[in-house]
Amino acid sequence: MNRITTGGTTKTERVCAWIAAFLLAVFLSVTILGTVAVQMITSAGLHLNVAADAGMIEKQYREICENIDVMAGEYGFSAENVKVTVTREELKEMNRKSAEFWTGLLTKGEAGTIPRWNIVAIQNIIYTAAEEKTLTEDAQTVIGDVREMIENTVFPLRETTITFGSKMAKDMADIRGIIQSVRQLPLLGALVCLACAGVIALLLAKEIFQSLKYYGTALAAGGIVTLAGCIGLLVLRSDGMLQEANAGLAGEFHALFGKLALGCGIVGTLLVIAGYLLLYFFSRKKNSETAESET
Amino acid sequence: MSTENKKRSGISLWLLPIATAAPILAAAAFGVIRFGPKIHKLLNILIKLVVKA
Repeated sequence: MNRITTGGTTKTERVCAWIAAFLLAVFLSVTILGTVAVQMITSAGLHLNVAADAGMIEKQYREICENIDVMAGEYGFSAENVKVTVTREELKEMNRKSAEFWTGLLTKGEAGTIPRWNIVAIQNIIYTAAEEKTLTEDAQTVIGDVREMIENTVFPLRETTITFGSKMAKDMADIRGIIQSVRQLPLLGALVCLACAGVIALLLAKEIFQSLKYYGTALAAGGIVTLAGCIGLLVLRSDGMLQEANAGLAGEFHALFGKLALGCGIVGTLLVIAGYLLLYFFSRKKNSETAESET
Repeated sequence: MSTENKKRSGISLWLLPIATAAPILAAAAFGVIRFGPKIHKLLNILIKLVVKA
C-alpha cells in the first residue's frame, strides 16, 4: 500500500527517487572516470601538455647525460662535446613529435613517422674523435649507439610491433569510427545523468525541497567514487611494472597519470562539497519546518 | 502526526552519500580483486612486446 507523506509523495515514489539517485551517483562517477579515460586516449592537448612537462624533460636530460658519460668512457669520445649538442629544447621538440605520433596512433589508428633525433652535431664530434684515433669502435657503430640511446630514452617503443599492430587493428576494425564513438560516450553519460536528475524532479514534484536530499546524496556519492578512482590512478601511477620495463616511458606515464589524477581529484572534491552543501540546505530547511510545525 | 515529523531511526543524513557510494565501491573493489591480476598480467605481456628495455 502506498502511504502518503506530508508533501503528498508516496512511498513508491520515494523508493523510485532513491533508485534514480543511486543511478545518478553511478552514472556521474562512470561519466567522470570515463571522460578521464577518453581524454587519456584521444586528447591531443593533454598529450602535448605531458610532452612539455619540465620535470619529465629534466629527468630524460639527466638520464641521457649519464648514459653519454658511460658511452664516452667505453668508446673514447669527448662526453662534454656530445652533451653540449643535447639540449632541453631539442628534447622538448622530440617529446612533442612523440606526442603527435601517439595522438595519430590513438585517434586515427595510423602509426605516423617515428620521431628521430637530429644526429648531425654528434656525427661531427664522433668523426673528429675517429680522425684523432681515440675511438675504440667504428665511428658508424658509435653514432648508431648514441642515437639509439637518446631515441630510446624519449621514445622507447619497438617500431615493428607498433606498425604491425596498428596495421592489423586497422584491417580488423574501423578504428577511426570506434574512436569517434568513444568520444561521444561522456556526452551520452551526461545525458543519462540529466535523465536521472529529471526523474527525481518528476517524482518529487509535490515537495520539491525533498529533492535536495536526493541530489545532494547522489552528487556527494558520485564525488566519493570519483575520489576513489583518483586514488586508483595514483596507485597505477606508482606501479613498478612500467618502471621495470623502461624508466623513460614510466616517467611519461607518471606525468600523464599525475595530470589526470589531479583533474579527477578536483572534480571529485567539488562534487562532494556541492553534495554536502545541498544536504546542509535540506537539513536547515527541514529543521526550520519542524520548528514551525511545533510552534 | 505525519510520517515526516516522526523521529526516524534510519541512517543519518550526512552518512547517506557514504551509504550510496559503498555498494559502487564494493563492486569496483570486487572487479579489481577478481580481474585485476589478470589485467596486470596481460598489460605486462603487452608492455614487454611494445616497449624496449
